[in-house]
Amino acid sequence: MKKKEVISFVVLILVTLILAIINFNLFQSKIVKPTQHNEEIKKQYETRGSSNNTVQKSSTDEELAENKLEKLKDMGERDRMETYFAEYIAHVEKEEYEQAYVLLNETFKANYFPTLEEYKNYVKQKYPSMIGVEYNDIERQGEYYILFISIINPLANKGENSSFNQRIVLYERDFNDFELSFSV
Amino acid sequence: MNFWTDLRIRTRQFFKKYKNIIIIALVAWAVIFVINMILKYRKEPETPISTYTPNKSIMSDEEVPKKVHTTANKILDEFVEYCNQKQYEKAYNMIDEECREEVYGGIDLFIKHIQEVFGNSKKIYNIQNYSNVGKTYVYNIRILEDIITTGTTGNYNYYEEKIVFKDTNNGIKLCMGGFIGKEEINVIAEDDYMKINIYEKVLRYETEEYRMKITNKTQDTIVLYDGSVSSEIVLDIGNQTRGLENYENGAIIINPGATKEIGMEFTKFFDDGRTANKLIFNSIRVLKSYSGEENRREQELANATKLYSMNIDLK
Repeated sequence: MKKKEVISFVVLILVTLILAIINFNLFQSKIVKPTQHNEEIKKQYETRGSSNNTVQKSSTDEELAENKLEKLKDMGERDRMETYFAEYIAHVEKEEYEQAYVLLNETFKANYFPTLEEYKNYVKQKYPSMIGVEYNDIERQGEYYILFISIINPLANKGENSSFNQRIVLYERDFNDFELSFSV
Repeated sequence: MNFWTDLRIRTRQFFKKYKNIIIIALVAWAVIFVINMILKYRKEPETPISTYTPNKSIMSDEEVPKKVHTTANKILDEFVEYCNQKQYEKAYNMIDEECREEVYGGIDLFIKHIQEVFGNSKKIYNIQNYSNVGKTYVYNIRILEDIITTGTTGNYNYYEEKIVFKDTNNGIKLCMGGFIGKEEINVIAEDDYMKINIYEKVLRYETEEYRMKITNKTQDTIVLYDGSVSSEIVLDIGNQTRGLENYENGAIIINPGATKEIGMEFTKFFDDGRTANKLIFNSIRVLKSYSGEENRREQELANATKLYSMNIDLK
């Protein structure tokens, strides 16, 4: 190939590449992005248009779950475990026994509380109506975490048994996907 | 021919001539571009951050090779399962033969040990890589109740010990009880009074034991160790020396003309990066008589045939 031809070839390739990049950028900025934006606006409009109480509620629930997930992703192990236990104990405090029961490890349930009724009786007898939790320590055993906590009854009078210690074992499968058990 | 006509003809000729190269270049560029876009928009699945890294050495942050830790996990799963099912012989046979002999000396002691550790309830285990030296991987193992199913009701205890996986030509071997391995060394030291043949070194995670035969060539009694002098026998490991550990008989005395087999154990961590250089006998006493009584010691030493020290090179 002559020198002149080589130069022409290089120039042509460069020109082709530049044109291709310009074309692609134009395609992205003038066609793809506006279309996507339009779709988003359309979706928002449709969502608003067809909104009713149920949809709003589920959308709020979804948002809350999403927010919770994002917060969990930013947390370290200790904070995540405490958050999970806080979720469990909140169910207990609100007397949402079924939701609390679901969070327990299946074999643990079978061993100690085969029925929801038995679990309810235990919880009602063991925990105060208003529950304070003090996190004393955390240990890890392989994939399991052990929280050493004190359950406090803030309404207890002086001299009464106002607190007791408990160990909580947690296993986290994924963010916000966990199971737990506790020393009975 | 004017300029534009000439350019048109040349361009056409050029594309005709290099059509294939141009197509290949464009396709390659398109492929790279698409792959780049896919990688850019592909989201890595997020998993919960955990500080549990069982196969990363806590001493050096070094990762155990995947081949080793995958096999190690399989071995331990099987071993713990056998122990839970009380199939002790199968579990025993999974341990490296040399280790079985050294640590348990037979299946009976192994069964006794496992029964003490496992009890009657199902146990689980977890491991943490501790340190790695060459192809020897030291782990810490904890054996405990299946805590997620008990909630630690009753108690929360665990048993732990050092175990070792060795990547050998015959596969990955499991050693327990802190046992690492044995090495033949065959060092001989001899003088007019005795002959010492150090034939073997037993490596454990926390200690090194030197096994030797000591022959008394004299008609006198030779005292190597009786606790009456400090640092009677030490192991030189560079800028430090280590004293003899808990010698079970309390004294090393070789009778006239006798040969004795002795194991001398010294504290030395397997992963401390040091090498034992010398075995030092600081106070060899060749005595006409030895009573072991403190009040006669001075007199016995005064009548000694020879008092001296000996350094034995181990390298």
